[in-house]
Amino acid sequence: MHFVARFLRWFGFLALTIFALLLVTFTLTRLSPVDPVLAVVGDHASRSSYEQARRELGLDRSLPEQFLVYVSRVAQGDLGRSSSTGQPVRSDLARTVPATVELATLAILLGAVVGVSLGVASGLRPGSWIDGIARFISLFGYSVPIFWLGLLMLLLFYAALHWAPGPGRLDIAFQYTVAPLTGFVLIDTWLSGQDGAFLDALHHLALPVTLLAFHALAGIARLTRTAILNEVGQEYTVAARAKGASDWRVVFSHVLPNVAGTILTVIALAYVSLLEGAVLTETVFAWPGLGRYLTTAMFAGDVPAILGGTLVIGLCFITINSITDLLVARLDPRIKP
Amino acid sequence: MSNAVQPVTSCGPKFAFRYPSLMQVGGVIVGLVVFAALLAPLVAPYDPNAQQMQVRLAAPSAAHWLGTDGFGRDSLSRIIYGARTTLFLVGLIALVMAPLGVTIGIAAGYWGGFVERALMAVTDIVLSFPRLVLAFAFVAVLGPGLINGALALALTSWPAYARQARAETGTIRRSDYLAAAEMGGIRGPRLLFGHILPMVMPSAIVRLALDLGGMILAAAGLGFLGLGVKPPTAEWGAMVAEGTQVIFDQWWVAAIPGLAILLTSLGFNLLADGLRDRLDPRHD
Amino acid sequence: MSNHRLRSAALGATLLTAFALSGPVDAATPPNTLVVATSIDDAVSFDPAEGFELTTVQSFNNLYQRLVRPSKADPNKIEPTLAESWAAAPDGKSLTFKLRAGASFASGNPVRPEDVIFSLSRAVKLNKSPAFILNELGWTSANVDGLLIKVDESHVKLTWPADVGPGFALAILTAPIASIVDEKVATTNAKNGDFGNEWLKTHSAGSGTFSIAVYQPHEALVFAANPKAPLGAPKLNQIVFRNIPDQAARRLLVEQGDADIARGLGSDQVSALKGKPGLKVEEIASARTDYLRFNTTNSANPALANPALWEAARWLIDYEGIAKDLLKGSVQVHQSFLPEGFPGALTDNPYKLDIEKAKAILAKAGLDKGLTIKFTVFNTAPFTQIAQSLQETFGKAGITLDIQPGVASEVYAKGRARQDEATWRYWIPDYFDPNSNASAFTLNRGGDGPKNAAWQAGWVIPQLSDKTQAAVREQDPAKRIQIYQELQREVQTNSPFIFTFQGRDPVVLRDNVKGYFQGLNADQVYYEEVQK
Repeated sequence: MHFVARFLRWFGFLALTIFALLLVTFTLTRLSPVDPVLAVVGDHASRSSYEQARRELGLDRSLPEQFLVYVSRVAQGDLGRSSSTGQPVRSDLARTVPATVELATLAILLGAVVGVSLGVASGLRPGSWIDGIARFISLFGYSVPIFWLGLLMLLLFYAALHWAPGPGRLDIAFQYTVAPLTGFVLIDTWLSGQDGAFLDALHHLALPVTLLAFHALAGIARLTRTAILNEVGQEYTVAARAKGASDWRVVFSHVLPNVAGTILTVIALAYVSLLEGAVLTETVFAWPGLGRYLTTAMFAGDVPAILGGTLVIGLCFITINSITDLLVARLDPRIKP
Repeated sequence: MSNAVQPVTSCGPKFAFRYPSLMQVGGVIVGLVVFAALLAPLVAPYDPNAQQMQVRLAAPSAAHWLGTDGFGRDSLSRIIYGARTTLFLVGLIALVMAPLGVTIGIAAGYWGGFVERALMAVTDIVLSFPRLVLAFAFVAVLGPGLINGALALALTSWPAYARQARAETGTIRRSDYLAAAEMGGIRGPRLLFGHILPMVMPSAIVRLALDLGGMILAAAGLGFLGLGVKPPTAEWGAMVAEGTQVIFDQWWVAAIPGLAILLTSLGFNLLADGLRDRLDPRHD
Repeated sequence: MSNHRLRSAALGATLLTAFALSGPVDAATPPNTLVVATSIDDAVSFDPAEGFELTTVQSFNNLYQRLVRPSKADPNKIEPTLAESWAAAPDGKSLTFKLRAGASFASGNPVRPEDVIFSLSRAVKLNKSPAFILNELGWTSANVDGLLIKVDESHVKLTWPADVGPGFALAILTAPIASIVDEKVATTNAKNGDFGNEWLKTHSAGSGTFSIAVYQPHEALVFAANPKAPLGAPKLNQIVFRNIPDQAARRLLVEQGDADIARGLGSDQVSALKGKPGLKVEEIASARTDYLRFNTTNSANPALANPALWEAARWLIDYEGIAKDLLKGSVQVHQSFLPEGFPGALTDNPYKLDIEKAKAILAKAGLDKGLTIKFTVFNTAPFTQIAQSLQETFGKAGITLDIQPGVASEVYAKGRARQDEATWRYWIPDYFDPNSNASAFTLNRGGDGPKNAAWQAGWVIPQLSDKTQAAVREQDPAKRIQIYQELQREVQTNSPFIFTFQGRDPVVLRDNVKGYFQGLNADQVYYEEVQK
């Protein structure tokens, strides 16, 4: 199929998926036993305050009308107002999403480098000690509850050994002197030029990044290994080796180009699942990101915030997935959609 | 959307399995968990819900092998009863997720054409949803409970089964075996469930086995966030959450149920690996 | 294979770098800055006309001043704050306040009678959640403009149409919603006639000892000293409230000296810190009262309307066990609807756990055939813990409590729709007067009602309602107290309400922190004299 036609099809599917996601999130709000008005005004308020808030939320209109209003507002970037922060959900997300993206991106970089190296090493030498270690790490990574591992790390490195700093993104000394220009704490502290601020930010990132990287590398290592194993058995690699090419050469000039698409897909999937994993880990590390925002909202019955957060994670999912599909199709001429 | 890109919805490891002892280890762990769940009233030393305020947060001792929780309830007994909750939840998810996915998949693969395109579009859409977060939102909005939690996870996890079943049905569709059955007058549901279903079952079962470890973790995550069972039912994720409040003083209260989750999930993953090697040697 | 070594070296290096960067954490907060580890997740609005959450209510006394406030030493006495003095009219329907000479806002603007009129009328007209407090005086958006009058440059006269006396009116004016806002600043920042509401959600414009310097929702709140404060500049330069949602982490911060004060700790954290060197643990009695309520209108479960069930339930709560063992002193047993410290509060506790007695009462009423009650509770500690204790003790008398945890707005919605069966609730008075509680529990003539607690219980009590309303009109303090004591006794012995505990708010301070004051009512948190 022509690339333009494929792109159009991709785009149509994207729009359909987003619409379906909106429909699901909207339906969830209407099924909820939570009274969004009471979430705003509380239980002591007078009846006239209640009615006023109800009108302001637009809940006096019909359901289809509410859905249309919801879709058109979302299209304009208006996700409503959070009842637990009193702020527009959009500005809450603008603050929390960078914190999560920063964490997940650093974690995926670390996890991908370590995971792909582990996977390549164990795929080339199945049954060796390195293969054993890689498989152990993968199995453990698949089976361990990440929130629990985070707690144990906090217990060990913060409470017992005092190696890691406490929760949060920066020490108190820097928190209000570093202007949140980009929302990414590493960039902001670097730009601020303050002594120690950048190191302090790294310091706070160490523990959660290591945890999430570990979570990601389990899957990356395993699937990379499988891909390499499949390739190594193929005739061309056998032939290349027979001609005396070194392992390095075989891996870089023959094997890796062929499995690049697979590995890219695996990394993309690990990345989106990190965005999800953040829901569980940010609570443990008091990381002021999207995950913690969502859990806080869940406990406050803050429906606009729950839906806004879910929608953003959903959009990230859909976009990353579809971009990866397109990229893989470009990278690997064997794949025809 | 390219079908060659196999989305990873299973969380089980797919390493080729060469030491049979590991599968046996998995089998023993799973066996123990099932045994504990079935015989909980017989093997648990205490009533899992009996409170003893005088011995709150006790360290492991001869009387309470794994200590007690914030209500003075025996942790070992709660771990044992918690196995019931976990297995029930995981069983419920499996019973909804796999049949739903497989039915959609074989229907799409058999009829093809518009039916296939419509069903697969829905499958792809659900596949693009953030599974865990959507499940959390679902439970947060509709209220906690075992059934809601299981439904939430099941309703977002079936597409992988549908894709796999559709692909396999598509292959069988063109086989002589099916042509023979159709000539014999077998059509419709009877053909679908009598002849196609048995052919796609083995790989669905392998996928399910590989998924179970991940399902245990997802269910524990729901419990950890306070979205799982209602009190006083023992559930491992919720037990970890209760223990976090005292983690710096009585670390074992949170550590032990977490270990139970880890071991159970590990057991299922090891077992699934071995099972996959036996039933489906052509795995990726 | 260099490949192998390279890869393991890379893994080792990354982990090592990550942790080498994490040297030992130095434990000291900056001088002149007070660091408070707390949760500010609840904060919605720092506009005193709207804010009704713990974090914001505890801030208002430090950001704004009211005309009057309850004395720190004796909360039953009202002392001048932004007003210098006041006089009631002979008919008892208005008060004239003389404003403090030379008082100014943090902006430097002088405090004028116009600011008082602006603040009170905007609060009524905005009609946000706490507006009902000012509605008690009969002020509505339609009439309030004519009832607040500037007398001269330093006097303002407040008149009210409701049938209440000046003592009660003064009590209403001690509520956070009666804070005086800088009209000029608020008007400058107003949008679409919102009286500056949107801007004031995250900023302050008052005459308190501090003003908001930085507010990042869910992250941190920073107060800067207001050198122009009419009460005098505070001793600290700034206060930093760090949002630490996890209680265990909060506790660790104060223990390691990364915070000077930790608030809102769980009972287990507090008891772990008691007696630790360098720390002071204070458990300050609060005006929060906890109660169990039966919904007598639930047709699915007629036993709920049976007074025998109410009576038996009073003997089925392990008051001592919950207060001492389960919650480790973060509540104290208290069985009447006025908290200890309020005028006229009953402080005797006639009920204790007595399962046999409860069983006898249930048997006599024919309720011993097994009874299941849905029990709606908030899904947070300590409520889920209390619920499980009740589940155990009620179970021993053959009553199964089916716990239904829910988020607050869901629990409220069920109550207001009268869809719950039994529920565990707490009540925090909205202003420092017994009527704030009495109007919730002993005022319900049936019908559509004001949906207060008595209405939600379906407890129709015309006689007690008359009494409750007579108490507000009563000008003789001794007689008022007597009425409230009679009302409490009635609720204590024969009502679908079972009052159980009074809260004790744990605050952990580093021992160099001095001058922190917290009173009985939720808003009475003062940082003005804190030093370290």
